Amino acid sequence: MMRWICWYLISTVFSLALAGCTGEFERPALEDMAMIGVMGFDYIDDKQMNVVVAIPVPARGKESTQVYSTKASMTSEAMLKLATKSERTMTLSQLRVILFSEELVRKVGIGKVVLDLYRNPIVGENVFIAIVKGKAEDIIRGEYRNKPEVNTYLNDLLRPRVETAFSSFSTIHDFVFMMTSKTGDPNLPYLIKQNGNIQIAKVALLRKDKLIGFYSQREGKLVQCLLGQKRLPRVKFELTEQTNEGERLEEIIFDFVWSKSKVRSNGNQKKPVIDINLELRGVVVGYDGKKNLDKRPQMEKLVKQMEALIKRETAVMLKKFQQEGVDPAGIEESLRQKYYGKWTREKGLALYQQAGFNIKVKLDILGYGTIK
Amino acid sequence: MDRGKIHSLRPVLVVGLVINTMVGVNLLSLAHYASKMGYNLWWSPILMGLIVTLTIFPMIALCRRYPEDTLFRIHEKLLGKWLGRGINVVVIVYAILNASTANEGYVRLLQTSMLNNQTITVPLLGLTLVMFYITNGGIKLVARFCLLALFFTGWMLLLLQYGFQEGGITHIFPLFNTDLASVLDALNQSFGSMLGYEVLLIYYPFIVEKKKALKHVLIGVWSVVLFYVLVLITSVAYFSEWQMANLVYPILNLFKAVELSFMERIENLGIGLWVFLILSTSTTYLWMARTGIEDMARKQRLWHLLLPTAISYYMIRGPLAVEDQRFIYDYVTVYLGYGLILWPIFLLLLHALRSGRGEGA
Repeated sequence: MMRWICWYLISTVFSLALAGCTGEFERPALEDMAMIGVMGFDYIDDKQMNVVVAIPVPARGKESTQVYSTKASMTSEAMLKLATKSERTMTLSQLRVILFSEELVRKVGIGKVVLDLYRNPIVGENVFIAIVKGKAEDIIRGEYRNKPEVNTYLNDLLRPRVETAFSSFSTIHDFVFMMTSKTGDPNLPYLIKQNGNIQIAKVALLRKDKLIGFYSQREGKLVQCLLGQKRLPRVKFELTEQTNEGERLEEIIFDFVWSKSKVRSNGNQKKPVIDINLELRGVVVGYDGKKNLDKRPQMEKLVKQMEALIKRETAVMLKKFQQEGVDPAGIEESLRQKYYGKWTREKGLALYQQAGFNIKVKLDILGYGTIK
Repeated sequence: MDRGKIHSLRPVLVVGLVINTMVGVNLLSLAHYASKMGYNLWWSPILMGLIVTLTIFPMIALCRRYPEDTLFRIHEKLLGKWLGRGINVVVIVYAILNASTANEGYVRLLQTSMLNNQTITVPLLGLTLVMFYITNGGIKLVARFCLLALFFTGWMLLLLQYGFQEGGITHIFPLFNTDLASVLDALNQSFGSMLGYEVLLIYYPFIVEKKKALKHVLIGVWSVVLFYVLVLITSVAYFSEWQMANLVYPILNLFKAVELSFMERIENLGIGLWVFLILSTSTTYLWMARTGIEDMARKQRLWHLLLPTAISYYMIRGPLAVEDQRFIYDYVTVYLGYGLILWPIFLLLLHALRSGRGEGA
């Protein structure tokens, strides 16, 4: 008897509690959702931004894109304002790409926007961040002939590929990591729109969340190698060779199949020295020169020349970064590993700027194609 | 159903019970709690494991002296009827609080991550009912559920490799670059993730191989330490110090790092499966509360289980403000836990005094 009374009481209590759960608004079904794929942010003034969103419209036959824009000071505010403009419920769950205009990154910084999105659990992790020349709105509203719809196009463009591996593929997590890391400066891909195409032209360098400069694709490849990227894009090397007819340009296109970098500091606080060991393996994909690649001595000579070239380029690049006081290659991490006490970015930069470099390059040519 | 004093916990069940009672809602925020230690936080579980090991010895020593009695009976024997019952009520409250802590933490996570446009009533109701049902089956069912939960969730450790690959393992250097104040703060903040083994004081009478119980419990504890160290090393590799200090649920972000070709947003799956870890913790504690009431009432009734279940539900869904709840779960529960793991030392002294005078067991 007691048992039944207990059950009765408990079910009454629970059903009373349940009464508050029926909602007036149903959660929209998938077809009623407007999945934002691309967001763009443009500079208006120090407080306001122009926020542009692109939403693919699923339709049979022809794909189309809806574009909405509004003024806001933070992302969630923009979502609030945009929500009333669309006929469907907007959601950020399929967000893929975030674009920032160069001006915004230079003048205001993007930390606030990115952290606002990082806080939102709806936003996934595979969202790529890029900086664009000019206005993000122009890129999103642009016409691209023979390209897929803009959401797909930008997502495909920024997806990690070997060919564009000279810049970090920064998802939101990666960017927040780089921004809050105490051992390096963030870098982001820099997009330029020209002739109806978008190109990842160079790499933007940031300090915390503000743009401070650029470096080239070629430098970017070395930076990625130092950061520990295993697979690097192809590089063209130019050597001068002496022939009977005089000096001549020898050109090599080299494909890095595997690379490894070891960056170690000696832990000395007064006179830090950083040892950089690069191990590179790859194949020659294009060669224009007089050497007979089948002959061992000539091949060894080529390897020596290329090693010297890579070593010189690395040294020149690191010296340049050092003088500017920037560290996209995360060299400071090697100093931090040997530093006892409270590590701050200022200490890191101070140590980095007085560090000497000791660079060693080991190159293996695994193959050179089907002709000698 | 295995009710009453049947020796029903085989060794593997003891290990499972220890592991899964310890691993629960606190693992979700472990890296966040210990973040005062910076990149050195990955070895904090080893320190906690040592503390736990040190406190297990007095527990086992006490239980060996009363092999057929739960902590509640020991209290009544050692402290007398009224004082003993008073302490028992505190222990029962502690057990209910722990069950609520696990459930509350989980529904809160559900609300922030998956169901952020609705209230938590329905998920909490579901959770409470399942918890009630499992606990109704007695300690053997709870232990079996723990073992099942271990197999259901243990494989998720493999997913750590995704976060690990993306990060830099070199972050763990320099190895011991921290100070005592940070270590103590981190230990205090994260010790909640180690609580759970003290239920041993209650289920010891049900263990089959009592002589080897110490070994089995230690196996469980150090497996948990190993899991925690793995999770924390991955967090160290994957996050910056700022992220560990500011992300409330670092595990959620580690799940997001997983990229599978056939499935996106695997964090939803992970958070869904986490319910096993939550239930295995809360059922053990609920069973502890129920056993306490039964031992005091000297008989078995359904309301002995219904009462703590209802209290734990209304703790979360009732009139208590979220702020007050957080205070209770984060401070009151953990400090009561500290008290309980040190309590056996006092009881042992008392036992020695009483048996010295020739009254003891």
